[in-house]
Amino acid sequence: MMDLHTVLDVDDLHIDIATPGGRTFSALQGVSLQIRAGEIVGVVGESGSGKSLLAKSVMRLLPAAARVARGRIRLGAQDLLTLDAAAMRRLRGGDLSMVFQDPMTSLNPVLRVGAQLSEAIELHQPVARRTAWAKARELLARVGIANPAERARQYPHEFSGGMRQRAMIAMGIANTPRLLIADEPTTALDVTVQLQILRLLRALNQDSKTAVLFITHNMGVVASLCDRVAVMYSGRIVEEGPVDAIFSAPRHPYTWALLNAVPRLDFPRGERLAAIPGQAPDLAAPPAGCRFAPRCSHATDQCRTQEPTRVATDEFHSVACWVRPDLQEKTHAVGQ
Amino acid sequence: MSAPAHLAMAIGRRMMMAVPVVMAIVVLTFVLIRLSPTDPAVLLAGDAPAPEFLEKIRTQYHLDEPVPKQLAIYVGSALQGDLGTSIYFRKPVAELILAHAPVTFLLTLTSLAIASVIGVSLAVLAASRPATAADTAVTTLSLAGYSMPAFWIGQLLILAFSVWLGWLPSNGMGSARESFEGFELLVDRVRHMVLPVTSLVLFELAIVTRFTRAAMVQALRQDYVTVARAKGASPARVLWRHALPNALVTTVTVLGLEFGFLLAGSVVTEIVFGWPGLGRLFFDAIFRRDFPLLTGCFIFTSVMVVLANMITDALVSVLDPRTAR
Amino acid sequence: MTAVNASHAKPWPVWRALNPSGRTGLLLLLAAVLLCTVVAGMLQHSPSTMSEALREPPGATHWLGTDDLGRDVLARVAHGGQISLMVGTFSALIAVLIGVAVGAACGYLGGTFDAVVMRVTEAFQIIPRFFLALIVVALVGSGIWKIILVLGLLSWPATARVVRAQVMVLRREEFVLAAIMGGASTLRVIGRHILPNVAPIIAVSASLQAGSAILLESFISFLGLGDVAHPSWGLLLQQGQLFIRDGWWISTFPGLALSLTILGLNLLGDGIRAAHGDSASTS
Repeated sequence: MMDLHTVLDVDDLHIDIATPGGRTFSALQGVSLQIRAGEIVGVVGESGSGKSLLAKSVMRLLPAAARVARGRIRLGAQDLLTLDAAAMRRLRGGDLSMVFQDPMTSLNPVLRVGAQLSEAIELHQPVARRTAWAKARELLARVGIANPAERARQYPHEFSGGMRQRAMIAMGIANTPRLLIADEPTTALDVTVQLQILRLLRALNQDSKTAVLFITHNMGVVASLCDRVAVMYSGRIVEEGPVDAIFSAPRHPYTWALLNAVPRLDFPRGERLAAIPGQAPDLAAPPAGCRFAPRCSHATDQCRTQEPTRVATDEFHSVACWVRPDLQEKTHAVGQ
Repeated sequence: MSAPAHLAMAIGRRMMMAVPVVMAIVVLTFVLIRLSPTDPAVLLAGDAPAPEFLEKIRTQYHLDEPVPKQLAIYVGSALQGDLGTSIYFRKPVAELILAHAPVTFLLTLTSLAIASVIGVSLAVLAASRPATAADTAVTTLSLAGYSMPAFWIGQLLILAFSVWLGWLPSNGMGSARESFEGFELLVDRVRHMVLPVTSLVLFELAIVTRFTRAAMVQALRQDYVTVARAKGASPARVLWRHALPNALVTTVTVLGLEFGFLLAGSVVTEIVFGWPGLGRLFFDAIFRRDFPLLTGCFIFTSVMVVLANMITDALVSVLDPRTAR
Repeated sequence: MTAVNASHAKPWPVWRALNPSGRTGLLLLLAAVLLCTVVAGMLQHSPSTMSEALREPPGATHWLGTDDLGRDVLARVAHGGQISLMVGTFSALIAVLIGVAVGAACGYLGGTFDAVVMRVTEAFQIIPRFFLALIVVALVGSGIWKIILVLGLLSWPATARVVRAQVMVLRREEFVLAAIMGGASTLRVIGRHILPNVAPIIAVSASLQAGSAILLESFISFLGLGDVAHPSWGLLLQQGQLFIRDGWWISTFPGLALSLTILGLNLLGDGIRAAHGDSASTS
């Protein structure tokens, strides 16, 4: 369903990856996702679930071995997959931008931070160098960096991890994008800094109505930041819906397992951490049927032979599961 | 502070270290001479010296004094610019070196400048098209150049362009038979420079291209390159503005480390093309068993290499802000 | 590079592990060895027999021509190769033996030992190798074995650095810590657990050192300090220098043999390095 305010529309995206051995396997299968203007949508999953790949596909920054086999990605009315390289470059960093995971390696060590910021501006706005630098200083202030004039002239190694990530976010919002993709931006930071970055993103979203696609493996972060969430497993979206609904009444056993794996201070002492037994399937040789079936305690024969399709359980909530158990009462609600 | 000012300060700081290093080299030379199986007096006196001459040498070079005193005298004289007297030429070694060194500098610096520009460009080209024919060609040719002795490259060029094609002269810095003036003189000089410089450029190109390409490939794998692309930077911008400044740090470092080898290439190229530079001095010194001249040349070239190292070190500290000192 | 626990290390099939350029290097090297051993033995002419066929171009009797003293160039190249290969092999051997010992000790022991020895190594590396070799050979004499010794003694720092770096990384690997906690002596830990994993790096270094030594020796010979009694390719090049105009074959064929051999060693070294996943190439 696409309405006038849909910023991102990913429709039935399939991505294949070629291995050095010569075979190809499917890394993303039938992924569909919409993001509306001003929304913060979280995509959560283990490593290998394909969430980063999804982010990179939207930016069309896929690794050389990956290929879009099928599907469509639209930013507003523009079909991203058919754009030529120059047009895509105009979008990247402009209407569509991305913040990466590791702040320590994401900034060029031999260029000043201000130069890297003003480059982002100059690439998309017809302004003079001096104006761009002025805007760069403003941006640094906006993301909460003190002494922006001094800091802009510094090099990345003079910034702390948290400051570098703020600078990255500044680069991401420099040209007021319609969609900001954040690929695990807080994973490499320590907890107190994480919180500050999340608050920053929330504030930026509220101020400029920038939609955010937030990739993470951390359910707690999703709860505190996102409006909606999509849960990915082994290249597919297995459940998707508003954060409240998903957290209080998940319908997919994997989602429930993820929620339960988050330890909380008010768990009874001595209770074991619930880890999900088994391992994610090898994408090159996936099991028949539902990919989560081998690890699922609710799995039926149908689950093991037929791949479930995504079905809406109500207006905003959809699940890809044959069983769709009612897991409400078993959930510990994960709070702020 | 501007970049040139930074560089000047960085070099200046390191030059203060130069004096102890020069002293260390001189001491090393002294030790080497003493460790040789031959009597230093004989070494310094030349072929088949008469006994009285040997005594004169012993007195002149203080060879009968206790070793520490000899060392002190030796180092002291060296620091004042006295490197002994050449047996064969009968002139102060220092004077000979200063007369011949500019030729070597001309050859080395000209070819280094040309090789750097071409080498870096080729490296960027190769790194931007990995595993294509262009990349393979560049990699193979630079490895080939790295494996060929510099003097052989010179010989091949002489064969091709001087002997077989007859286009360019193969010997000397200028025409010996005719004398030119003004513009014709310039043309004559340049014609005599083409083959030697080309020979040395090919040799140096191999090193520059090989290491710069590797550094470029490394740089292009880094996260900040992906981030630059995510900002909408064009492929050219990513290469030249983001990757290359990082790769150049390696290039400069390697040039410093390999400078001794580059200078060796210069020296033999001069011999092949009959240029009157340090190469000629080295060759003559060895041929004539002229040890004062040989050791003087050794000290001079070692000091040059150390200084070059300091300059490249300073350059790196300017290019890479993480190492700024 | 993934480290392998010593007890699971398998001997690798060298040929299969190498990429095309590495294989080319190996082939070139084998060709050189073949030339200098088998072919040298089968040749009709001897390298030192002078004849009256002075400066003859390549032809039926003398396939690669003769030099200014009527000696067969092919024979001289084949035998000269024996000398050059000897220089490469033994210099590399000396450099690697010393380099591995020093590098492993520094990397493993760390602390003041490492700091002091590394300073010494750096001091060694500042003085230009070629000029130092030149003056030492001038002072001690031009015998081929002296040259080999000098080159080996001046080249170990490069190997030491690489080995040290790798040992420092391996030192912290879990299987090493396990061995230490199991009570293994220092020597045993280094010998049985660390060195097998450093072996590829050593092989790379050895190959590159050999190439470098052959190259340096050719420079030394070109400057007139080569061993005339044991003419290497470098010496042949120096002798041929005078006859470029009317005897190009005298220096060109030795030069070709020299360059292809060094190229082979460099390609082989690079190939082994690539096969082991290290792509950072600065030797």
